[in-house]
Amino acid sequence: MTQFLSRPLTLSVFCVFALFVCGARAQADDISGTINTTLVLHDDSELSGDVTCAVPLTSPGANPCISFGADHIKLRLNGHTITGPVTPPTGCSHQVDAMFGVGIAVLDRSDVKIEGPGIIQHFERWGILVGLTGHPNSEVTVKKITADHNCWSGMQTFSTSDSNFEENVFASDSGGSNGAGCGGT
Amino acid sequence: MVSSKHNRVRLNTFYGNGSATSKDSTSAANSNNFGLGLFGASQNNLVEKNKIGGNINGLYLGGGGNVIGNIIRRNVILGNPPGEAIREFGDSIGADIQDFSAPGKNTFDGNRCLTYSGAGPSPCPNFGNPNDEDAEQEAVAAFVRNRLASQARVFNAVYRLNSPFLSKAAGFAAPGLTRLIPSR
Repeated sequence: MTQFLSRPLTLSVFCVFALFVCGARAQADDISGTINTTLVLHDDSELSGDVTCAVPLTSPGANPCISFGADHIKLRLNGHTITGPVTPPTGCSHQVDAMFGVGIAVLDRSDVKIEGPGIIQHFERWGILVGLTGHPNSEVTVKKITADHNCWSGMQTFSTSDSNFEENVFASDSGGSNGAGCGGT
Repeated sequence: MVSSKHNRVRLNTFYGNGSATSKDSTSAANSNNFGLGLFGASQNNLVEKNKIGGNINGLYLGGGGNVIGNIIRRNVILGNPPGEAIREFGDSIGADIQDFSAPGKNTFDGNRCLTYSGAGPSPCPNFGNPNDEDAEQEAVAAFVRNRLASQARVFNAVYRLNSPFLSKAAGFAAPGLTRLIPSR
């Protein structure tokens, strides 16, 4: 009798486990095409094609193309490119601008990862924004990303700790910082 | 990087960033653009084994007295600013290391660089010790030799003819091996 009951029980546990595993994979977002409003990530995600960002500047502060909305998740670029709307120095943000565009924003997050290879380019301020004053991060990894031709910096970190920034390329950024102290990172 | 602490910035490439005309004030001699910059209260970061070249400034350490405790080691910081920028704007427009931090508050060790602007002590010019590369190559060679020797010892222990491993493995005993060779 015990053996008779244990087999269905085992099968049920296995099915629940399989659903959990398969469900988590199904929830992972595949991203490509044009993004018109900020895409907020809540699960592990990856690019399945190149992305063009056309997010309008409507909110005070950063108006990112992609934003991390949860801890312990990662975004893989999979060799694809995220392209913003400007070509420096034309269209670049000024220091007095209340609203500005960035490629990827990581604010108030812990243990998140942006992983290349892949390119982030042509944004009004920063290709990658990691933290802001009052919005600290910890344990952020940015690896094997190429950030180029962004107006201010390829990547900017504010109030970020215990993080790894490795094997990235920052090239030809800060061609339109309009007096702000900027650069590759 | 602004007010960021205990981070590791390693193995990155910073090439061709910055504009010579971007300055903190019209009277400033140098551009405020750079390859990699530490500002505010950026403290206790490790900046290691990066390649930083062709930027208006290579590495930029901001003023204010709170950029402290950072370790900057084994980076190649050369060609900042590029020749064209020097020709157009003069030598003072940038440097491999532009340092406005308090003297002695950050550690520079084993970087390859040519130009430094700051209160010092200057870590540049430093183009390496002639023995550094030899020592590094010797260390790699020693590692490979040691690894090959270990593999050889394992091979001998397993495959030598009177090995207990071979005699216990059916079909792989030494006499069996000879029988696998077709007779002519």
